[in-house]
Amino acid sequence: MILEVRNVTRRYRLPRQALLSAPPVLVAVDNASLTLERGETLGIVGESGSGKSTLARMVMAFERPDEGNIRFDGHDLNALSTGDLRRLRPKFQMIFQDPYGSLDPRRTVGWSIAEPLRVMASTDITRRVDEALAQVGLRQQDAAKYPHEFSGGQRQRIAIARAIVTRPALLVADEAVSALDVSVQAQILNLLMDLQDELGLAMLFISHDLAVVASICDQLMVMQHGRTLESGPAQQVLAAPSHPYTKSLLTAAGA
Amino acid sequence: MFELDQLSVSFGTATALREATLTIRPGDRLGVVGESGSGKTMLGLSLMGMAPDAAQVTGRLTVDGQEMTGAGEADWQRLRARKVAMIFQEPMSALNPLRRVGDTVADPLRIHMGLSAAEADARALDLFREVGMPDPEARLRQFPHEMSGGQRQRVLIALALACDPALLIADEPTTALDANIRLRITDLLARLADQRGMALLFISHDLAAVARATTEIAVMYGGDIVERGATPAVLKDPAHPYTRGLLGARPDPAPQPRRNGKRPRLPTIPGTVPALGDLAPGCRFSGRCPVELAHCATVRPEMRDLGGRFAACHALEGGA
Ligand SMILES: Nc1ncnc2c1ncn2[C@@H]1O[C@H](COP(=O)(O)OP(=O)(O)OP(=O)(O)O)[C@@H](O)[C@H]1O
Ligand SMILES: Nc1ncnc2c1ncn2[C@@H]1O[C@H](COP(=O)(O)OP(=O)(O)O)[C@@H](O)[C@H]1O
Ligand code: SF4
Ligand SMILES: [Mg+2]
Ligand SMILES: [Mg+2]
Repeated sequence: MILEVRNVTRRYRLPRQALLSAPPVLVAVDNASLTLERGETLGIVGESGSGKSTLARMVMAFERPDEGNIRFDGHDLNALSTGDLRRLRPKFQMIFQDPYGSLDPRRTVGWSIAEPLRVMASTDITRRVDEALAQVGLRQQDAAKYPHEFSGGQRQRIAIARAIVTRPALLVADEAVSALDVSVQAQILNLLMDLQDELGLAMLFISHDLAVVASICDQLMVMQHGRTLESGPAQQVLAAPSHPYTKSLLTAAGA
Repeated sequence: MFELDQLSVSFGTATALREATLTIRPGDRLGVVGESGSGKTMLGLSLMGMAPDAAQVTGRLTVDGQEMTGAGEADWQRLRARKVAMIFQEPMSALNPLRRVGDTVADPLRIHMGLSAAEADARALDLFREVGMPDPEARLRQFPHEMSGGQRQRVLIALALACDPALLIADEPTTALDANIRLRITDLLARLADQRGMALLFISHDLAAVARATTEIAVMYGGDIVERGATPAVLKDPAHPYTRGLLGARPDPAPQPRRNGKRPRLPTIPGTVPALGDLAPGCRFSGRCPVELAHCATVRPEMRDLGGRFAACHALEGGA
């Protein structure tokens, strides 16, 4: 098991309504649990604000849960020292919806892809950048170009190259294909499946599009208002959804 | 009735819309689909006289018989005030963050329709009801940031309907919304068009939404309308290789089990959309087309009548 999330809750304090009243609390993620095996994909679907990205940020150790714990490859993420966490980070990487925002516009693509390697003080940087470019279907020469010279789909490939250059065991993809046209989306989904076969990657794949999730996931988890409505093998959840909200998602996806 | 005849929009030597010919009649619900950069927004903007300043527009557009080719800004403004309205993809940026949404909707009613302040407010409330805004009285007094994406999109629809347009252009109206709300907005637009006898131009790359909201469809690639016909017919039995590729690439919401440990791959259209200036002079899809013929890249295929449906492709010639 590469990832285990157990009974995780995250609360946000909202601005006080009146001077003396207690600030209202929003439970962004409410008692979420999941497990993910090597080489498998777990999909998380849910409407906007349901807590998907909050859960992803906790898995990435960008923020801490208020309750519960998260184990990655046997390590309790919140018990690690800053140094240990930094050394472990290349093993779990993330890609975002907007690849433009996550790539530095003033740096060449090669520089951005190499960034996680520099943290690792890796030696054969050029070779590994070339390899990552090839794995996502880009050319060696592309390393010298800047993000604005690429289309949206190509920029997403660059973001993926950057995420896999450290050969991670886990990839967290938050709405990674949502901004793309269907045809480009299909190419990127296939690329992620190829990389999974090739590298044995586990993926946490977040999307509000159920059809996209159905095409790539082994396990499926449905969230609403921070709560887990249902979870299980994707085929089972999709073929016989137990919650009305999941059913409505299926209708919306045109199943 | 809106009639486009060989309407083109170009930027220098790059053609963003090539000789579009199209008629939109009252009550038509026409979907425009195609990848990003295919010219969908340019088509919508040309119907409003709002193509970017840098663009050269050629060809003809007539609205209810009135020639709009070369019309001055005053004529376009009159058209926009009375006959055509457009809603855009990002509802947040289209609304004034400092004004209450009710005032945003009431303003044009006073300015263009000559209503009193009280009449305009009452009409704004009616419009909020018509677009299914929850708790409409209270919502009128809210600011955009206090509303959800779906509610903001309803405000924009109310605003677009305020002046009773004959044609409503919705440019990717649901892209920023999640699945359930997307469905509701899509159905709302279709219902409003039917109830009001208003024409709807529904621009989207969401094929499921277009299937629900429209009766006719135009498929665009590289600035060309490549296929046109009744929505169910085109989606069920696409004639153009690009339409077939686009439909094939759509993921299926049915469960996809692994086979021999491997997950089935999605069908794709190989390659990427070329930059505008690099498009072939013949068929824009040449270079990516799986059934390309020798002359495709140089000779532009004519739009052919396939029995009430139309497609422009050399591979269909002789056969059909
Ligand atoms: N730093 C924060 N402070 C306060 N509230 C927050 C913060 N981050 C997230 N939230 C709230 O937590 C809830 C869950 O947010 P989250 O971003 O996880 O949703 P999501 O499921 O990823 O939604 P989307 O599909 O729109 O990306 C929302 O109500 C959000 O407004
Ligand atoms: N001001 C402009 N200058 C040059 N090219 C432009 C300009 N505006 C749009 N284009 C180009 O016109 C083409 C069609 O754009 P658009 O109609 O917005 O496509 P769509 O809405 O289908 O995504 C694109 O290749 C776009 O880059
Ligand atoms: S005209 Fe030629 S290249 Fe274009 S779609 Fe038809 S067969 Fe393909
Ligand atoms: Mg999110
Ligand atoms: Mg557009």
